[in-house]
Amino acid sequence: MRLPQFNYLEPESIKEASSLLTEKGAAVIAGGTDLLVNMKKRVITPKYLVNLKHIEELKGLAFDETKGLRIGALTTLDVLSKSTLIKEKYPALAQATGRTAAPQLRNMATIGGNVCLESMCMYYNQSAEWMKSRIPCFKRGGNQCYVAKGSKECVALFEADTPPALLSLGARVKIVGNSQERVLPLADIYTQKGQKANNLAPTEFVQEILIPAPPKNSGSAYQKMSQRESIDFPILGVASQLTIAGGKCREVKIAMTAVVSGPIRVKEAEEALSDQAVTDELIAKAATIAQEKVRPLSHQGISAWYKRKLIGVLVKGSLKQAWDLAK
Amino acid sequence: MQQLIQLKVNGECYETAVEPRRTLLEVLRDNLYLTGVKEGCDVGSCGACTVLIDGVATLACLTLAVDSQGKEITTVEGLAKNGKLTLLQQNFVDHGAIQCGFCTPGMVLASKSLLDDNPKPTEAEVKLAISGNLCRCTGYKKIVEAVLATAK
Repeated sequence: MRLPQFNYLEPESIKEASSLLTEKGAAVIAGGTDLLVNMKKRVITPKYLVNLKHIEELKGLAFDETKGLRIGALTTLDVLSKSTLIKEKYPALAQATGRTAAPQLRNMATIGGNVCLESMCMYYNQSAEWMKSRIPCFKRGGNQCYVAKGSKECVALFEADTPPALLSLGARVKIVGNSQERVLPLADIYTQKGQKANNLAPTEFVQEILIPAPPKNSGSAYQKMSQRESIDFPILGVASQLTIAGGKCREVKIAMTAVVSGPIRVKEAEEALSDQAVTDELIAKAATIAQEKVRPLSHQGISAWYKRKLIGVLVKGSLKQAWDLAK
Repeated sequence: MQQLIQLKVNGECYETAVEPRRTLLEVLRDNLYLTGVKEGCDVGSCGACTVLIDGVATLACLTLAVDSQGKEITTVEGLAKNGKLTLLQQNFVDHGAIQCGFCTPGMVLASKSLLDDNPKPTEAEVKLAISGNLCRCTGYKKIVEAVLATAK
């Protein structure tokens, strides 16, 4: 499949990139592992591609005990999965990046791109030829959904691996571009709508991801189930972080991906653990609560019933793993 | 609109005119006639188009040729010197790790990038390193054996 025609631009600063992005039909490219596939399929056909890879301000990985971690948006998933610092201080992130896609794709894909990954659907991510045979769905500008018949909106599935890990670690994200630069909690960029996964304007992009230094006696973990061990999106991915202080569980966060149209936190399950002495029974109880509260979508051939069972298993698994590290 | 680009492939410099939309895979095969790099799925799911860019295993089907300038690109043609196969390639032959041969260039380069970083990998590490490469003849076992034999 040939790529469609586009004009190629190579800015060297955020300022230059921002001004180029004001051109109508401009899109950013970094790793390109998702974008170029969608372009080959004519899912998206930008007129201008603005390559961010030569912008120094988007690079770097630095840790400071007081300020925490700064990850430049261009940092590849491979670098994060192999970094001793990340493995030691932010195991959930090392595990999530290490389980994304395949080695070659991790060498290319960036954390900024993974955070901004568009939600997917087997009726949307298809070639132009395939799409001709159907009346467009919501995500293609039509007014129906093939997955949830009768649905009033698009229910495309959000399947990126790193966002739940970053949510569990309390990450914030710095957005730059043609509008006011802003730093906000990562959760705030997600719309939870299938139509468009994040609320970044076409002229905006991620500069960096900021994660606070891990609290003392804390642990985190990411667990993923997929049909294949490699080159696959999760059927479900769950990340947990918890801190033990004074024998009790504090600051617990549980987040998951591939259940609905965005990465979500499960506050009800977190509350069950909060300020309690952690036991195997309590973790099992939190897992049951997550299973009851989250309403997964039947998608990509995986039933909601199966996914719900799996939520129990992975919430329990990731909490136990995080607890072991926190002890 | 076409533009002139310079690519450094297997130690040699090439100059060629391409449109920005041409992938590195297309340019290596169609402009430079380096047909060792294969087009499999063309959407980043099979690893047949794996090349090394500055020593890192990369998918040429999802890399723009215009963005590959100023880098050292290695294809499978760049491994053998004076007609003599590298130890890794010879082990692929000796262990019967080649069936139809279509995945072989990608497998060899993915394995090479592993061995360059980690000369003594475990079996699990070898399997992980080639986990982005599909072999539809399903000859994975022999490939793992060939890589492990090279590491000895």
